[in-house]
Amino acid sequence: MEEEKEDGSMAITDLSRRRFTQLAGLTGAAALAGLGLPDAAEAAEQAPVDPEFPVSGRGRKLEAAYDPNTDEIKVNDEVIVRYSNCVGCYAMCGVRLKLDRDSREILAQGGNPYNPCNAYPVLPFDEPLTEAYRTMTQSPTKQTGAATCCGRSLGALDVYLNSYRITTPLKRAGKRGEGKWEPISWDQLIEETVEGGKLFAHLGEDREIEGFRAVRDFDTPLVPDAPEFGSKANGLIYCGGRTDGRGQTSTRFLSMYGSSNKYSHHSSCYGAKGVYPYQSGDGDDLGIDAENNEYAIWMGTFPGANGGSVMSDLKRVAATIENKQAKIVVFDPNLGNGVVTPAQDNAVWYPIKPATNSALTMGMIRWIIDNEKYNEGFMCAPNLPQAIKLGFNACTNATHLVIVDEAHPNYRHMMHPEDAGLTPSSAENAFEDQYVCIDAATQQPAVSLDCDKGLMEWEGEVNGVKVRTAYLFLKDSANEHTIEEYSEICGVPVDVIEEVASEFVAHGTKSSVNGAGGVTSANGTDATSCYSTLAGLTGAICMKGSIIATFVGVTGPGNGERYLLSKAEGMPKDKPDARVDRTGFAWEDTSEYKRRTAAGEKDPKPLLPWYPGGVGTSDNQMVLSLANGYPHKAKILLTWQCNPIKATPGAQREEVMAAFKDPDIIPLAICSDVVEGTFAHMADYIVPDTMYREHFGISQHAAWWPHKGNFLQWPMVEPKSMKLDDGRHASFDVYLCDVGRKLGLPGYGDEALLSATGEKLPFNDACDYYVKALANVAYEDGVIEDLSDEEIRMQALDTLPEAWKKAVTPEEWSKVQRLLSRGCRTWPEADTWDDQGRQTYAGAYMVNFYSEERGSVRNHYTGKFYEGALGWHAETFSDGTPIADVYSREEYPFGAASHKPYFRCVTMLSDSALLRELSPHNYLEINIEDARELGIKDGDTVQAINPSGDVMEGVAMLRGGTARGNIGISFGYTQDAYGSTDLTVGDETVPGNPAINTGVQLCQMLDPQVGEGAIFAFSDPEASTPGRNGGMFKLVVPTA
Amino acid sequence: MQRAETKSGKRPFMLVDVSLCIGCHACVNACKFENELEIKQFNTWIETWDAGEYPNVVRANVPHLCNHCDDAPCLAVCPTGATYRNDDGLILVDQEKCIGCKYCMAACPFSVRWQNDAGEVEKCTFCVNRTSAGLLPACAGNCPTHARLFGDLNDPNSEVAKKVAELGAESMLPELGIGTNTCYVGLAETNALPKSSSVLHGGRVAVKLEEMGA
Amino acid sequence: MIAMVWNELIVCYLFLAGLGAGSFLLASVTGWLSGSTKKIRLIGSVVGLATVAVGTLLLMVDARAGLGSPARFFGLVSNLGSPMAWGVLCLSVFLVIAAASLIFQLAKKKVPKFIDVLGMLCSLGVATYTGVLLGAAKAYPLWNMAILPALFVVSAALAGFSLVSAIAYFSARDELPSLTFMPKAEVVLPVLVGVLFAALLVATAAVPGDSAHAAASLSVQRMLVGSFASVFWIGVVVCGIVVPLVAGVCRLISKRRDVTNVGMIGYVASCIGEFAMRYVIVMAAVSITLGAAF
Ligand SMILES: Nc1nc2c(c(=O)[nH]1)N[C@H]1C(S)=C(S)[C@@H](COP(=O)(O)OP(=O)(O)OC[C@H]3O[C@@H](n4cnc5c(=O)[nH]c(N)nc54)[C@H](O)[C@@H]3O)O[C@H]1N2
Ligand SMILES: Nc1nc2c(c(=O)[nH]1)N[C@H]1C(S)=C(S)[C@@H](COP(=O)(O)OP(=O)(O)OC[C@H]3O[C@@H](n4cnc5c(=O)[nH]c(N)nc54)[C@H](O)[C@@H]3O)O[C@H]1N2
Ligand code: SF4
Ligand code: SF4
Ligand code: SF4
Ligand code: SF4
Ligand code: SF4
Ligand SMILES: [Mo]
Repeated sequence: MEEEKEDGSMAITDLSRRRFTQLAGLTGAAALAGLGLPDAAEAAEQAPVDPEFPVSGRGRKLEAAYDPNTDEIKVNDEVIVRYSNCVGCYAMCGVRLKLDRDSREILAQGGNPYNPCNAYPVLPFDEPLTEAYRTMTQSPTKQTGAATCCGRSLGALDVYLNSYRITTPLKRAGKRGEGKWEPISWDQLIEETVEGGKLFAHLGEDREIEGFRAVRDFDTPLVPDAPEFGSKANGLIYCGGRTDGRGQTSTRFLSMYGSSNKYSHHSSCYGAKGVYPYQSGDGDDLGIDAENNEYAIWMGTFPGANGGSVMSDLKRVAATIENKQAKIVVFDPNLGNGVVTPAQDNAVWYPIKPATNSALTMGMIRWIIDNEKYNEGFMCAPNLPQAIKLGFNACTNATHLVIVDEAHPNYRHMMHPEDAGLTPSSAENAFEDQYVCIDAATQQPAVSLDCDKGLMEWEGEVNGVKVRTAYLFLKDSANEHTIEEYSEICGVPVDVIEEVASEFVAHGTKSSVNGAGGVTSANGTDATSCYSTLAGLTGAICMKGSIIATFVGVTGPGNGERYLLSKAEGMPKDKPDARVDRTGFAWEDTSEYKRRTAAGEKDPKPLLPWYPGGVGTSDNQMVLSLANGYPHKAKILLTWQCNPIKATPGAQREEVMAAFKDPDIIPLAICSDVVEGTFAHMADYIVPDTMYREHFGISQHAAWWPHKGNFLQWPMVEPKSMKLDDGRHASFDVYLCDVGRKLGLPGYGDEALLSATGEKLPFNDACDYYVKALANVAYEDGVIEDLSDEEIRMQALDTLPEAWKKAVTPEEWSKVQRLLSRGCRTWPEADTWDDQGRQTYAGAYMVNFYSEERGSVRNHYTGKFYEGALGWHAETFSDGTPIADVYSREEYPFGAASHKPYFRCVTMLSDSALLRELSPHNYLEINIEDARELGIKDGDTVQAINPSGDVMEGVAMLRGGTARGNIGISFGYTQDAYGSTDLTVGDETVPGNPAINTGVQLCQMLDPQVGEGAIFAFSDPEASTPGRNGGMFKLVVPTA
Repeated sequence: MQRAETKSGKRPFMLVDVSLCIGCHACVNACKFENELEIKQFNTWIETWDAGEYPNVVRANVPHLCNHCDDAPCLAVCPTGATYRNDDGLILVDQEKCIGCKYCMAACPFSVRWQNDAGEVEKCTFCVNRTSAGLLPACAGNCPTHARLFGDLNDPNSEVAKKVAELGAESMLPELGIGTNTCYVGLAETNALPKSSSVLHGGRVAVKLEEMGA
Repeated sequence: MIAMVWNELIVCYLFLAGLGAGSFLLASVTGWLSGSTKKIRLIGSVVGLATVAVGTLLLMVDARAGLGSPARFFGLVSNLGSPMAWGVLCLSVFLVIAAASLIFQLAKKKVPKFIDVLGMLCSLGVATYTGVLLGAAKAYPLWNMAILPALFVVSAALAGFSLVSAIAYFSARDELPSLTFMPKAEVVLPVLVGVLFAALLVATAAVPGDSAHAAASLSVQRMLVGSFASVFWIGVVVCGIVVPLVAGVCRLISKRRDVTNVGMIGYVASCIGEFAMRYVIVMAAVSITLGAAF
């Protein structure tokens, strides 16, 4: 097979590499070919003589020893073990670092036994650290509780130890994207980005660039004559951040700065999962209770292969399969490397065509309705207390009336008491609005809160207004097609649809259904609604074993018992309605629309679509907006820890890259990155940052885990980024602190952070903020105990920086130490369920069979309303035209389904030589029968071509594990920068390593239906999210 | 399960449950870090393929590592005595004695041995430094589904002994009749399914679909 | 990716050891012949000693770790259960005997009978051992313990006899007729090689056990039609069997049974052929672990 070409990097000798490192502020690449671990001789020299902790020729210092005869554990003093979070990928598992006590060298990495992601069973928070050591031993009770990290996580460690790392500020020394840089001082970085000026005059660029100060102008509108975009301060467009709990510092910065153009990767990540038209309530995301179910349908996440928490889902699902507690079925175009394995019979994979989830679901619903297998009692409970009385934990709007009178001002909205001439109820209401239903007892309209049972199937007039129940919309929608037709669309056989539907209802609240990235398609709004709609038919929501509320923990945790961290005096209030990403705002409300209609234009169309009902904020649309300079350009683009161009399938193309390199569209581009990623490559300034293991973050859990907990990252090792004169290490957090202080932003400087008692405390470094936030977590919902001296010593927590200690009171510090020692705080699992199996942490949920949020929104191209109920809708372009009406399905018979990589992490980790060795490139995965029909052989070079003419060329892998009609593609391969191209700092050059840029990247077509000349990647017309899975492709074998 | 006796009376043993292995490579990479192996050196690897005929397909992942054979062919052929058996029955290599003749590599039916840069032969040691101190080997200690269970087979209380008692244990190449101390559950069942993709090592094609004469 | 442990270096070693053993065998046998064979004996001894010595050197070069720390070679006979330990003993004794024989010849003294006897035994030992070496490696079904030793002995004889005869054709043509058994041997040996090789293929293809069977069939397939087909058909079959056989038959049925240019072609071909045979046997072998993946 292909040999790795490391030649480029190998050309640099050790010496010059070290010199380069010093000069250029890059570290790493200690051993390009090896893992960068100390050589054998060195290791032998270091080997301890202690016979209790033997070290053979290979093998590292031991953390402890265990005697099976006495069951005793003896901890090795020379080694410390610390717990924190892994951010190898966004699953945010816990991590365990084994460090040499003296040198603080990283000896090994594993999982955190206190974190439910890595350990199942998980070690309760109160268990002593010696019990954590026990999970690493052959102790007969603990092996299956061993805390683990995944292979990628160790790839991320490889990257941490070995890749070239940006450690000092860099300023562009050539054109954007040329990879030429000069190292600059921290002060120069702050000065120039804040004050602006003719920053690149020495490169012959005469442009006057506005810095943070000039852009923070609340008096000048950002877009003249378009007040909806607010003031010029909104010209700061920010993108970055993950669910790693580190976003709090940038959130604070943006709100103090006063820009609402703040994006993270949510839209490109979970797609339409960010819109919940079919569920109301105050919870966040819903997921599968993998631990307690009897039947689970995974539809858009492959347990073990991907998922919000790969490891947590995997461990729990694997356990239910092993102990025969559950049967699980996975509908996926790709058979993932996950829990569907040989030699077990209770996990089954069913291939499904990409972007057809709702056809499958509608088939199931049709069967459930036809056979009256739904839970009528549950559905007819018209309010939450009534549903709870019946033993459930959520309700539905099945019985709620919807106004279908076209003349009525609330046409297509839910009927409210006022519309029905009823007096609103005084009963307590978990939801914002009150609804009306037909009381089953009186057969008369009633406020649903005041009624015990409503009618599910009713239509007629109430108060002279034509109405029908929400349920009828779903029923009609299901009846649009026969089960055979649904089967034909999604490629799942009729008997499978029927069997899965019948199993799903048979297990009642012990069955569950969900998915995530699989819903990221142009009809993703339907796909994401499938889950709650199905649960609405059985009551399987927020019950033990069903669909559960996730992300349970201390939210924020900015404002708590001890500190009020999200507040500051003088916070700007300017919050414009419209943002550059065109979501949450209707085209008809824009000034442009008004201006053009006033000028006599009939039914004007925008250059790019607007999304009144879309996800909150949309990184992918932000990228497409800037690529087109529409609806406006940027003043400053600040990016951190993200790559929304690569994350948006179809956006990674020349025209888009050109726009990002164009100072007319983006006058000032600042990127914080640890390596020269795509955005850093195209930036004016690179802000060095700490990496995980080196910084703070406090998160709730992305895992589908029903219990309560907060999980933390903390600097377990000293950051490799440059040390500033005052002892702080350069990082994005410190950058924002210093910019905030220089600008005089509220909430920055020496009197910035508020304690609960009203004290004003300094904010100059990440620890000032996060150590206080940790104190909030420690005191929340039952204060935790102090950490014992013995355990402090075990982890050397007495050697932590003084600055951390000073950030809180001595009383708080000891509790913070306890949190650090566990890398998390979890609350007792027993508190999660009430005696009837209701999830106590769940918010109030209502399943909407009819969604007014969706049903009352019109597509501004067609003027037509979207459907209010879940239904099967083929993928369409923005203007509602089915893609198959524009291009020929016969010519482009394939869809694509991308899946998360096993040996990369989203767009990252191709700089790990270890992961490249395991997987040098990805493949175009093609069904074995499809391939044989096309004459494609395993290993052939093939091209997948979309109707826009984009060619993805790659190596064919023939699989029984790919659905017919699908092209499977692992995400994360190919790089336009990231070490694949030459990087020059000062007068030294690290040659690009072509092995970093291998494989194929999914490229979706352009939407031909948007405005003239626009570059617009195929997107979900409702949610605004990428049309990632699905699309149209043909497969061609290139003739040489 | 009947095993040859060892001097210490212990029987370090690994049981790999193929139905639990998802090919995540947590074990492979943990082994690399623990044993400081270089990029192209592997004490253990995973073979992955699609098993079954479309649409009834499952994903097979089979970990490979040294079997610490009772009747070890590598031990038999090593001329220098560099390959030896320790008191617990582990087959180890004394690198100081190894001349790098590779006879052991040719003799090992499982191809688990490799040469280091100096030409000495190495392989999985069952993490003897860790396991002899009562710790888990790096791979089994980092397997998220505990598809790899490790412990003393002669201790009826160990998890591995219990699972073996319940489910039995298969050798990788049972026809050779070599007593192996790495055993499997579900391997024969897995191998009985027709293969519908190439066999991968990690993400690399190791054996092409066409070559398998399927 | 088809894992292979030994490479061309070992092929050369196996070939040279066989060639040397065959040559020296011929040299030793001359002790029993009536005609004048001094020069041929000298040729066989020099060739035998040199090729085996070079082969042994290659073996040491292949054992990189030993080459790096030569003291480790003293450990080579630690495990007498290992065919390689016996092989090393054989090679050592062979080298001593061959050297001794040569010394007697160079000193123009009569080579004692016991040295000839030992020489024959050592030659047979070295040739057999090269087969046993492979045969003991259970991972490769192609390396069949029942057949390889015999095959390697006859092919060593064929190659060694041929090489010595060829050299003698130029420098000791007068002595050639003294090798009275040669015309027959030149027919019998290629036939035996052919028969044994066929037996090897048959035995390999019929090896029991799923994985072993798969690996074995792949080995056979690689030889007959796969990536080693040309070496196999041209090298092993044509050069190693057919041409020597034809040449041998020509000589046998010719009146004077002289070595002719046709015979020379046969000699050269058989050397090439016996090299090719070892090459395909080493290189086309497929390990049964790969079989396990089938
Ligand atoms: N291995 C690995 N795990 C990861 C990551 C990683 O990089 N690598 N990244 C992490 C991140 S950032 C996230 S957000 C999560 C995401 O985790 P998921 O959302 O679970 O991951 P995806 O791979 O995007 O999509 C899930 C599955 O949906 C399938 N799919 C695609 N189209 C369709 C469809 O139309 N219908 C159905 N039913 N299925 C479809 C894909 O084949 C894939 O197997 O994973 C996290 N875990
Ligand atoms: N085709 C296809 N597209 C997809 C997906 C898919 O499955 N298929 N998945 C989607 C999903 S789920 C997601 S989450 C997105 C991912 O998309 P994003 O979240 O936008 O991208 P990332 O890969 O997380 O961002 C990578 C950048 O962050 C930098 N970085 C890493 N660590 C640090 C750090 O500690 N500090 C700083 N300052 N920078 C750091 C890296 O060097 C790199 O340049 O992609 C989405 N796009
Ligand atoms: S799944 Fe992601 S977060 Fe969890 S251990 Fe693996 S790389 Fe780290
Ligand atoms: S860690 Fe476990 S599940 Fe993962 S590949 Fe290794 S054996 Fe299989
Ligand atoms: S598996 Fe191979 S290396 Fe390990 S003991 Fe058995 S024969 Fe020797
Ligand atoms: S390579 Fe080393 S361990 Fe293997 S047989 Fe030769 S001397 Fe023994
Ligand atoms: S037991 Fe140790 S050496 Fe062997 S494969 Fe596992 S981690 Fe590697
Ligand atoms: Mo994601």
